[in-house]
Amino acid sequence: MAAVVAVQSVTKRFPGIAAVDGVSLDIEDGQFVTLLGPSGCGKTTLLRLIAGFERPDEGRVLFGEADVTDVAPHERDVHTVFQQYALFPHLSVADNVAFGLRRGRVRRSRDEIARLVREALELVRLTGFEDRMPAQLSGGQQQRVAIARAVAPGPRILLLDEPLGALDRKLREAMQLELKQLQRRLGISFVFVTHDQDEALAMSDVVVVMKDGRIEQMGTPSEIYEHPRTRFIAEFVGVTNVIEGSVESIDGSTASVRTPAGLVPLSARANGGPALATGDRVTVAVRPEKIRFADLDGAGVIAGRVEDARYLGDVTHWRVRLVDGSAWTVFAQNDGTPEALAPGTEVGLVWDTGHGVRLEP
Amino acid sequence: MSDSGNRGRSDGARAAALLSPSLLWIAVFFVGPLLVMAAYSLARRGAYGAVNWTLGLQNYVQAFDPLYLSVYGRSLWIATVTTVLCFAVGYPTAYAIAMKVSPRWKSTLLVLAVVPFWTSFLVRTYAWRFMLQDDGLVNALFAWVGLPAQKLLYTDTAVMIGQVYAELPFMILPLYAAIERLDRRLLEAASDLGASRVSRFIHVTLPLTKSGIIAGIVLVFVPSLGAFITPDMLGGAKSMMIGSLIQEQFVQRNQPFGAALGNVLAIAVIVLLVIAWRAGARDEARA
Repeated sequence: MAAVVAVQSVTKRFPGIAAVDGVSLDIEDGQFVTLLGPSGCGKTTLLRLIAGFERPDEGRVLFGEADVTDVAPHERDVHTVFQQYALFPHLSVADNVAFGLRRGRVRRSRDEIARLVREALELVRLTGFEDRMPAQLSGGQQQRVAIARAVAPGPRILLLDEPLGALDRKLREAMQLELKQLQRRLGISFVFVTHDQDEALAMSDVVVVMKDGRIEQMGTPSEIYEHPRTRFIAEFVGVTNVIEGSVESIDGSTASVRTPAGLVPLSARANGGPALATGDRVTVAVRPEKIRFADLDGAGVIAGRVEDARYLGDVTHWRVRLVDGSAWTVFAQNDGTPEALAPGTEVGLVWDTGHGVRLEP
Repeated sequence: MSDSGNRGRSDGARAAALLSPSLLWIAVFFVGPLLVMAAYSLARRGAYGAVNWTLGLQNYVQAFDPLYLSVYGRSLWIATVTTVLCFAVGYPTAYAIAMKVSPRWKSTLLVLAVVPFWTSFLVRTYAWRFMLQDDGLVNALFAWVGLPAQKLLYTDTAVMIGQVYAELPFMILPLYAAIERLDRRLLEAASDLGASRVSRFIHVTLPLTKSGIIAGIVLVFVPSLGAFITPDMLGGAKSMMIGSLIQEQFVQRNQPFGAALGNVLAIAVIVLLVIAWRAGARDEARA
């Protein structure tokens, strides 16, 4: 499948910083791609490079076969949903949505414009709001107008710059679902920028995790969550527990890692990295929901002391202090097994070998 | 659009208390003189500059004498050209200062636009006389590049040059304020949706800086219409404007006719202001 957008070794420098540093990325037709990272990681700059608001210092941007590196934003077949919506305050909802149809490069008849505006407003369920001014709309409605305005001219790619950031949590979750459905219905590629890992996991076909202007890891939401490549990703996406140790022995496909808190199992080829050898230093990460409480004397069990419990109804979040002093988190489903552990109780923690992730140093 | 009816009575009393100094000021120094002017405009010119208090509308009838219509016409023409030129020069200037210049230089450039005002207006207008006279700087420059000498001083052109020079800052400052306030993301949004630079300027930048445009036009047009120093010093006797005409009446001790002319000008200006205000208000209501 051909990439609708290909970013090739692109670097963009601002005074004192390389905002995007040698990034290559292919976005395929119909994909929902999320650029995820903390503020300042370069995700918005990368989006602006695709939109054409920034020119790369190095590298190229292709749309399909065409090199658009030097093409101005108004000549690119992409539209953006801006962070604060950027609706034109002097234009009604209908005129906002019609802006790209009237002012864009494609000449359209009056009837066609009216039809496309009507369809776009139907798509975001704002029929009947045509004559309102943006200032008369709620944040969620403005958001929909911004989406309708961007999709009305039928772009090949829709860029979304943290579009849900300004909405409250309930509305944000509803909009996540709606955006995902919209993307499926339109069948075009969405490039979505966010710093919210839940949003990224819930909506994307591909998550691109960025850090310091580079792509840290790229994959499906479950790949990113279950097999984070580095400690940064493991901790940025979800909650994780990390322990360091050295390989003591290897038995077939399973290695035993000696850690300050006990001997833990690790798949010898975990994360597709180079095969382990005895004596290797490794960092092992385990997600909190993968951990079970166990007797202290079992195999592959590490020891700790219960410090705190946060009862949340469906789950309880336990904080356990290991003997080496690090604090681990364990999520336990409240499925009826009585687990009322008093603070100070000595507990063992265990997980399936496959759930231990070996992080890159 | 606030409705004071549903606020408490104490709010109204407080508002009245806060407003009373300025209301008093306006009553004494603004409404008062207007009433004096209105009274004078209905009187007659007496012998030796005295005022004959036989009231009538004869001054207003005289004000619309065809003799003076050409003066009004010229005033309107010069004020309009002045305003158009100020806009044509002022908008790009204000745009450049607001959008293109690094923040460090903005205030410097704005101060430079206003610096001429630190010296006397009279002195500056004299300077223009020296530049525009037959053997002045402008003609010296023309001669240097091989152009024939021009008659500049005591022409309408000289008046317009002087007016544009004098009024330009009043165009630049409100335009700058409006353009500076313009949300740059809206310009990006317009480009993103396929609008060319020209289309973006016409459909986004201009409408969103309308308040500054209206303010600039009013601030330039109104003083231009009533100006008398510049037309007097650069235009000479031939190109009389309404401001000079009014001033002349008072110098020649015909206060009643001067007052009537002044009122005609004031009413014309008020009508223009109302039109401008309506245009602005409609914009506010939409936004």
